[in-house]
Amino acid sequence: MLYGQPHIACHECDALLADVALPAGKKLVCPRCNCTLRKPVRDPVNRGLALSLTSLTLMVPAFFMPIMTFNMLGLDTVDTMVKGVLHLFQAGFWWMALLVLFCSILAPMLENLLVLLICLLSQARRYGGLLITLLKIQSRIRRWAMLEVYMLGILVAYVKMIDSGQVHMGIGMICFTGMLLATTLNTVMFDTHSIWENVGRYRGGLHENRPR
Amino acid sequence: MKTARAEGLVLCRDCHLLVKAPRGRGVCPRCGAALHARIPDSVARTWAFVITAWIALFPANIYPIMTVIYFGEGEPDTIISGVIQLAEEGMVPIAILVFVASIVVPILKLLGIMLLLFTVHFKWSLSKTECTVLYRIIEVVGAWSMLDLFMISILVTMVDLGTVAQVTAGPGATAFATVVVLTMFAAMSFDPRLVWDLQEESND
Repeated sequence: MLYGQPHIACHECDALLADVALPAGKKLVCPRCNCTLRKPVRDPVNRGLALSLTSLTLMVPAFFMPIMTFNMLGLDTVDTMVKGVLHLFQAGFWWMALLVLFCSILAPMLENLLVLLICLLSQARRYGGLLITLLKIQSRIRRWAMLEVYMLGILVAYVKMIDSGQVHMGIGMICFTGMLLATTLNTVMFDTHSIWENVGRYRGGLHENRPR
Repeated sequence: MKTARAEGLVLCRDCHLLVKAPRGRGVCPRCGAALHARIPDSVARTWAFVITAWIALFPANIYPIMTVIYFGEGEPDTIISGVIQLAEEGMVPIAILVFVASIVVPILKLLGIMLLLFTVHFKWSLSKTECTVLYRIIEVVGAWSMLDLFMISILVTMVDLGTVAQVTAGPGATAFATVVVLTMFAAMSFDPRLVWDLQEESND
């Protein structure tokens, strides 16, 4: 009975469910543990391309342009994301610097870069080993991108210093906000399921739960 | 409800393909990842991360995480004294935010994972749905502890006016960074399906 039709399993509670074709905009929820199993979007590849290109373009100014400028007694200092990391390195806090570098700069950049490459490869129908490797790295790196927390960090730093001197938001802040929005949308809407299905089809018509 | 494992099937952790459970070691035919019905040694690994995180939590809270110096004067701040200072300056909402992100979240996260671990170990009959909700909260909330570290990295650059005003990081920040990483690894190594497995066992 089981092998008559394709099945899927919930990754959070292992419930066995019959696979269904799902239209874009609908989501499939596990009846036992309520976890979202799948949420297809319309045209995932083009959407992924557009959003990751937007993010990557905005990343350059967001990382290197001033986020905030602090002025006290006529003295100015400028804060950029990259300078923050370099400062910690120079002060000897390399472990903390590495973590900040990874979570606020490298992980978001890699994530967008990977989505871009995955979309390009699947558009070119190159469902080979490279695409598989990239998909795996992408799913692991996603949780380390913490741009929204960094945004809150900027706000807390702003509020903390506002009484001591003048704080101005810089052009980097605008780019950062745009990049945050594009990256978050990209993470939420990137539908790896359809790409994995295509990979399966390319690799010799594998069927879900086909006996090995 | 039937489970994949009870039917002799394994879900690939990387590509979510459902395949027949291999005899001994096997790899996913679609993506080549090693197949495991459950994350191997999930409980032991999670305990290791949780215990190490508890240990690292002490230096993170005892040592100063940063020092703000105006005109050569300034005391090093620990996480909690930073929060108190914010509250005293009248920035109560921000103080609460920092308090929740750097103290409440790491501790509740560790306690939550321990509750899940004990539930699996002692087969406590807690609501499986609620345990899953707890697990999801733990997963999502983990990143927010980075707030303090990001704030420090911004402040050390922004407030760098030599003798007039300067912010420097402290050794507590290094320990706190370790806590954040360890709690994230703990959440990742825990397999939520173990909680649901208890239901299968009690049904038998």
